[in-house]
Amino acid sequence: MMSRIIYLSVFLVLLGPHKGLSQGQAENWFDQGNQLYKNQQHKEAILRWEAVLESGAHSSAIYYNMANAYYYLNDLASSIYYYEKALELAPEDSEIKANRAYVQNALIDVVREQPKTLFQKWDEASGQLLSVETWGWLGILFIALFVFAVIRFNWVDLPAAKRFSFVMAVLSLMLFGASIFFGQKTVSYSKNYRWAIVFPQEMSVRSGPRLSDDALFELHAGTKLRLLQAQDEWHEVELADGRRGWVLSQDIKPL
Amino acid sequence: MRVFLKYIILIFVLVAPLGLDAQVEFVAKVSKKKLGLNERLRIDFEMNEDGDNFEPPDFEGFRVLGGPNQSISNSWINGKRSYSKTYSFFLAPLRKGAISIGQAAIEIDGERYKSVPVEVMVTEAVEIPKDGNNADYLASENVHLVAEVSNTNPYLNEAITVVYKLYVSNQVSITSNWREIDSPKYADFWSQTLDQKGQLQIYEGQYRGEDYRYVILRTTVLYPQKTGELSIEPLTLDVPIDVRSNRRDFFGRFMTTRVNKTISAGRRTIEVKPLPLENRPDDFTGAVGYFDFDTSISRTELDAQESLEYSVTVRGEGNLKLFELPKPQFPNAFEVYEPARSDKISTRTTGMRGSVAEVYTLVPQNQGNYPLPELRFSYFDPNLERYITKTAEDHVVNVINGPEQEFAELSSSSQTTTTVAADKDRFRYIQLEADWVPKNPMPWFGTWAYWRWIVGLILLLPLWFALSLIRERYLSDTVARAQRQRKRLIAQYLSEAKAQQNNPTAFYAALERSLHLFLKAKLKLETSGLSKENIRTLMTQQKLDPEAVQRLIGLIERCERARYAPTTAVDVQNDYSEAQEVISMVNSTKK
Repeated sequence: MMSRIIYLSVFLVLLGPHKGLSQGQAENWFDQGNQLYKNQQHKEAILRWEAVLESGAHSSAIYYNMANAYYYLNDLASSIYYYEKALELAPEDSEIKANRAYVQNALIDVVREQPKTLFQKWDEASGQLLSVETWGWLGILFIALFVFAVIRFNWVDLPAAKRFSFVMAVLSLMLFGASIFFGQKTVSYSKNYRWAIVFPQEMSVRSGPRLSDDALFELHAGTKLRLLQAQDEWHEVELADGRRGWVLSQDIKPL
Repeated sequence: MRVFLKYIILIFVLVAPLGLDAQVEFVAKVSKKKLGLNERLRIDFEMNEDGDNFEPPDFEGFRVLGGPNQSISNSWINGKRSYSKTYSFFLAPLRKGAISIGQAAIEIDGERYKSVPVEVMVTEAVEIPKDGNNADYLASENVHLVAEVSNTNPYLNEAITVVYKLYVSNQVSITSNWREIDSPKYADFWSQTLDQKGQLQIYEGQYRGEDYRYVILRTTVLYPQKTGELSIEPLTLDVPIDVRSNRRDFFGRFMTTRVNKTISAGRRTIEVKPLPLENRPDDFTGAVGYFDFDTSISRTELDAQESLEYSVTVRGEGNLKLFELPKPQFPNAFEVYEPARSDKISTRTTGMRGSVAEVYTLVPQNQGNYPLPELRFSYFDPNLERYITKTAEDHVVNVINGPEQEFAELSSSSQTTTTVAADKDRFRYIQLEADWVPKNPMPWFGTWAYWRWIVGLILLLPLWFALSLIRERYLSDTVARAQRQRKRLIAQYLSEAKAQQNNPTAFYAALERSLHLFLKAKLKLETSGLSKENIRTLMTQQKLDPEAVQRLIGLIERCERARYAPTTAVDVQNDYSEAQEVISMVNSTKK
């Protein structure tokens, strides 16, 4: 508890000048970018928004705006990249999904999703339910509730109230366990499901991490890949349809 | 002086030939310059003026079979006299090798002339001795078919030209058509033959240093398709050749003999170089030559379901028919039809020239902006000997109106594709409000700090239990003390009564007084207002145990009765313990 406060204060001191400056300045730059976008100065708008991102704060809106600007600059790979970034922060935003669909239509690769088993679906969904932070707070909340319920059990005399407290204690303990479980699940999901976007116009996916290895298939700008493992300057990747191969790390940009 | 002399000589040299109007010639001619050991040679010493005192050479290395035979011809044509006098010898060689026939001498107009020595090559004996006058022999000596190759060391796929030339010397003529017996086959080549159309053009040229006439029979453009040594099979013709014989017809013209001769252009070998491996672009598809590359679209703005054309064009000079055009990649929302290929190629002696185009028909399915990526084309320039990559500009297709933008959320269940409502079919504007969050939040969940929170919260439980235990102990301590205090108080109150136990009147007086004292302290009352009714209401108000109140009242009544009507029917012992009990009861109900 104490150490956390120390961490936080150290963190704030380290980032202090930036953060202190940013909150107002970032807001200002963000609005300037929006204004530039309105005037169709997409390149300048992106420069402004990038400056905002340098300040250490981000939001789904700024990524979404950048993606839209890149779309107008016909940079599809960057556009997709920032839509995906925006969706990481706001997974259910329909505007982001609608505009991303426009860009996906203009991409060259079509990756058909492989049908998943129920367990896989459940596994993936459970990793994306809530953010790690939220699960953490829920865990704290439920353990506090459990402690309260146990104390109340000992406090009250009426049998009905005692019974209620008991049920509450058991329930909150179970919910605490669930919160920790899902929190761990989310952590491992974000560890296992790391994504990247293809940037060059065309690149080969090879059977191994060498240039001499066979080129299995070609991918084009804007395609989303899942990162599996890395060796030297190579990454093993997986497509949504289950195809796997190795690509040069310089050709992809991790989200 | 010497300089002057030099000029005089120069002038003489320049002027001298002018004076020699009828120059004297004395030459030696051999029927063949190369002969087998078993063949014969005829040598003529010819002069154009009459001469005497002919002196033949010694013919060293030859045996003279016949001669000298002398012949004189004298003719006037258009008033111009031509005279020739010839001494002929027939010789048989005696040994192989180069044999020189020495100088012959003649005296013409008192001057002595000498012929130039002639060198003759004598080879091994041939099977059929060749007669210098044989028509067959003459035909074969005077007609040659030659295949000229423009470049015998080309790069793979670099154009080379093979020109077939038929050389005919002035001694023979070809008046009727020839027949092709064997056409050359160009295995491992892409070939196109450019046949000469119509009348063959006759050119003047040289063949091994001698004047010949020639015609170009055919030109073939070849593109080698393999590296290494490739051979071109010969072209073989059956040519009817008219050979002038020595006989003359009735009118004095030379008779001609027609000889059918099979002649062929020799086999040619071509060494094909592979294209260099270094700096070869990845997208190289085998184009060799000089090209321009271009892509174009028929329209940049259209509605969905309308079509546009995208064409890829390569124009220039090179192996146009022999390479693949680069394949463009289109956005997945475009329906793409098989390209229509249109070639406009003409083949010349230098190779193919023209343009190759592939036209793709595209039908966009959804609205939006679609950038068509730039396309690259690489070829090998055989002159510069390096690869050149040309990039065509990229295009953007703007599909203005279209059906509703459909988007199926890829990561959600693939069964249902959600179609977005109509008001969402435009590319949406940016969001103007943002919820800022720190970019790299401190990891908290799962860290020691987090578990300390959890453990801290759980530790509240034993803490609470410990605290409640201490409190209970403390509470039980206070009860015991209160009880002791109360006992002490009761003992105080009742101590007087206890002392008077043997005297009932005094006992009850003391008991009543102590009860009053107790109630006064208990109910905070004055003695004056202490009536039984008053006590009852007050005690009921204070929610004392009714039974205790009843017993207390009863006890007070008994005390009064015993004081004012002293009887024997009293139980001092009993009343004392009753008082103790009641006081204790009242005390315990009211804390």
